[in-house]
Amino acid sequence: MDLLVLAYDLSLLTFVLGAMIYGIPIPIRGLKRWGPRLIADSIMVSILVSFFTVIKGFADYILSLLGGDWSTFIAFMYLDVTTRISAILTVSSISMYFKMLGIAPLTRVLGMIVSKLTWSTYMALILFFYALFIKYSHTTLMILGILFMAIPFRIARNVGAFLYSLALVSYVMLPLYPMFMSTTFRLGGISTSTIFIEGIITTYTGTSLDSGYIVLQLHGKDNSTKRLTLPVYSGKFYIDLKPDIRSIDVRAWLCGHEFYTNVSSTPINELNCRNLSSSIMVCRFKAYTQGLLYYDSGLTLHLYPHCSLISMNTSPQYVVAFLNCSERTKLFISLVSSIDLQSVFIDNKSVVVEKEYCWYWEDLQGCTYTTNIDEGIHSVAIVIERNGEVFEPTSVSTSVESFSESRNIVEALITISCSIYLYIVGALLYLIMIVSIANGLARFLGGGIRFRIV
Amino acid sequence: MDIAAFIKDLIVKVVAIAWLLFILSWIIGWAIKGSPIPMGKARRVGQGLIEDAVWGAFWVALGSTIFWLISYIATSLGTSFPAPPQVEVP
Repeated sequence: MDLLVLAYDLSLLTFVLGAMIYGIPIPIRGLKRWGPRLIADSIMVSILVSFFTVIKGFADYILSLLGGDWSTFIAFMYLDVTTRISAILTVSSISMYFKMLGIAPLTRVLGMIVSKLTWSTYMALILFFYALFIKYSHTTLMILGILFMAIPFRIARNVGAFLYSLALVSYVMLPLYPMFMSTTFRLGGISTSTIFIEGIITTYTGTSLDSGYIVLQLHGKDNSTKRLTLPVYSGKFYIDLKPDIRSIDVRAWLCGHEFYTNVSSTPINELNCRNLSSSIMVCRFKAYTQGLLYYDSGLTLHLYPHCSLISMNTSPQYVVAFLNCSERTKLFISLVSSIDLQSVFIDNKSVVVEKEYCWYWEDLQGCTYTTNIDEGIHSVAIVIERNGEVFEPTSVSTSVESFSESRNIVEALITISCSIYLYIVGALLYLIMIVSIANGLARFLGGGIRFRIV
Repeated sequence: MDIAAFIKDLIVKVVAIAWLLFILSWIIGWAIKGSPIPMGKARRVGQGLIEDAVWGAFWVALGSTIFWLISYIATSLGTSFPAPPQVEVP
């Protein structure tokens, strides 16, 4: 905000400089013309400075009117980039397979597809990082732009005008990118609308899980059920679904156990969804896992029936928790085989744990140990030692959604080709649009207001 | 901030210099206009100087009013805009 005050002072200086030049007794036309120019420039800069908050509020208003939202857009871009990367991995693994079989032309074609996909991923990444940059520094850029415009004698006016208009236009236009990408889907009347889901999975105390997997069960409108396994990326999981889903179950899949969450057979409209456009809906919600006390890379602590958590202290070698149990509770410690359970202390006294059963978690083996905790407040300390590198399964198969049926083969071909084109080129196209619109706005600001002051 | 204080100081100085220059060019303009030079161009130069001096004095006098008007419009617009709707994550 200091910079804005500086810009305002600079505009005042420009104004009085312009008035002073008006009064210089040297009758040179070229010099005298600077007078009205400087006065007009200073009034424009002071309008920009005073109306800074108003213009920002107006930009937010337009954005909300068109249905754009910055956090939803960032989630959409994250999902977009991750799906592109997984598409590249799929196609290149297929081409490796064909290479092994020795079918040369097919490998070449697949190689071409991979290179186009890689290029489009780079574009999407550029758009993603540009979006993050604008999200965190658009105000600074706008203020810098106004400051440059405020310098007298139009020294840096073009630079400032372009900075300001780029920041403003990007701020308004970037969250409308998902709507832009969905325009092809309206061609031919085929509505392949999608539901984007961004979910946070937490323990029953509300601490979010950094890693691990979840199992999503989708109940379709025709009573069919489909199971999907998704990884958790730093506390969140993302998936895009077809709209013919009636309700979903979210279960945490950790150390061979599937834990129920509060999202079980929840209809889609109860998941805090909003319509980004007529064909895209975004749902963001939190799922609380019942019975799960703690999870970190292959170590799961779960209990039954229930204890409330007072405090917890963790480190890579131990977990110490203070629990208040209302009845006798069984504590389950599930570990993958690369983690050794060294000792368990309840109220600083060593206890013996029983090995109840062993399980497979995709390709990892592990076992569950139990001990009992009496009623009341107790401190539970678990000391472990991690050996090796792998604590979570790495190769989990995720299913791929199939393309929807279309009435007409020609319409389908047109839609497919348009959507492929937009899928590859969309990010670059949008960036070019943003820059050219910003250029136009900069011309408008930097060209100056043509006051005809005598 | 050093620069802000410097600019404010500069503004005060420039306003003082501007008033002096107006009076000076007004006097010079009338002097040229009233001088016995028979060329019409000299008279027009004098006329131009007088006009510009008067316009300049007008703008300096009006400057603070204009800037007050702009900030008044800005504050009244700022309070009347509706707040954009926000989406909350539960």
